[in-house]
Amino acid sequence: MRKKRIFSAALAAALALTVVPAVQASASSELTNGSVSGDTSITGHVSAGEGIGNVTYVVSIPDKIDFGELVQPDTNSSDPVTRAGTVKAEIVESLPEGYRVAVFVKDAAASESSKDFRIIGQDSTNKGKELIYTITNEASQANLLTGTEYPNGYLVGAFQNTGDTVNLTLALDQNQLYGEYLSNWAGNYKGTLNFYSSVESVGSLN
Amino acid sequence: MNRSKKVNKRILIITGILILGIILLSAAVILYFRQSEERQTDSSAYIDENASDWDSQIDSEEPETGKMLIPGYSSASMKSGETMLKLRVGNPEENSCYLKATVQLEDGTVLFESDLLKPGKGFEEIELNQTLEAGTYQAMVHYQGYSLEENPQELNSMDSAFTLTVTP
Repeated sequence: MRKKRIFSAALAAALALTVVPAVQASASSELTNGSVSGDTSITGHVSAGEGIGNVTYVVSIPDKIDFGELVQPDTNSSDPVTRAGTVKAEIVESLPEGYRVAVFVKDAAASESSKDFRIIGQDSTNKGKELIYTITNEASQANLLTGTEYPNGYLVGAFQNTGDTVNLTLALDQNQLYGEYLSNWAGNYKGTLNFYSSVESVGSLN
Repeated sequence: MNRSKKVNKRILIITGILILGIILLSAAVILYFRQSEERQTDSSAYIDENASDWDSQIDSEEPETGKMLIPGYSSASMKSGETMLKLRVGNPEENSCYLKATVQLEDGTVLFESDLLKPGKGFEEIELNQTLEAGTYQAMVHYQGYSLEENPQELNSMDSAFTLTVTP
């Protein structure tokens, strides 16, 4: 009888341990990789010197932009949702005379046929739907897309000194939803920006 | 009676060995999944275990929330026939996001790819997946941001371009 009890207790302990892994294992979710930027033909060359391979500047960019909950307007008039974004030369070191740290931006999903900045439907309910937004330089009030299109996007700023900053306004006009059948548009949207930085001669930038 | 005792003893021993085997197997499975969870954030992105403590060596103020600090470079050089490149690739410790670094040529040829780098982690030099012939190349480090969540979400990205000189 005693042997039977020992056997039962040991078996119960073994079975308890076999349950634990099933509880601890967690499902993984898919993560899509970001798209890779394309070719560049506008480059600057800085003579090799001290600190080759070292970090020579640090730029800060917005990590993401969230336009929040969008609302269908009642009238066919502009109804923008705006967000602020900042691109800043956190540190610039050893920049040769006549050169700048140029920062460009483009929509990660931009193509030859569409350069617009946009957020794209992520759910089955809004698959294929896109909402376009604009990026404006706060200081000049210029829409970035009206500027020169460089191979790696539109010029955000050419930074010379530590602390140089460009403030941007991102605006999504909810008027795009006016008159639309909302059940075809409801759901989550997502878009990403691809920034590009390089040391460029002032003469190569408009 | 003796035979019955012997049989019982044999059954007891076999049962004991089986139970011990189950316990050891379970422990191994638990250990495997624990290590797997620590390393894995989702099915297609991993924390880079090869990265070490990394300092951008440039003092910068802690950024406001909602920003990513991205390192930039002017140039890098290496010798043809070698695969080690002295290029300080890493995620500034001031960041509150992962960065995944991909070093590539302007034609899209990928030379090096990291897994997710935690803030304050990176490499002093990297090992390319191929050698390059002598010459001057336009290259970039593609830094892709990911949120620091259990299942990291894709954030914005930045390409830091530089000139890569390969000497004979």
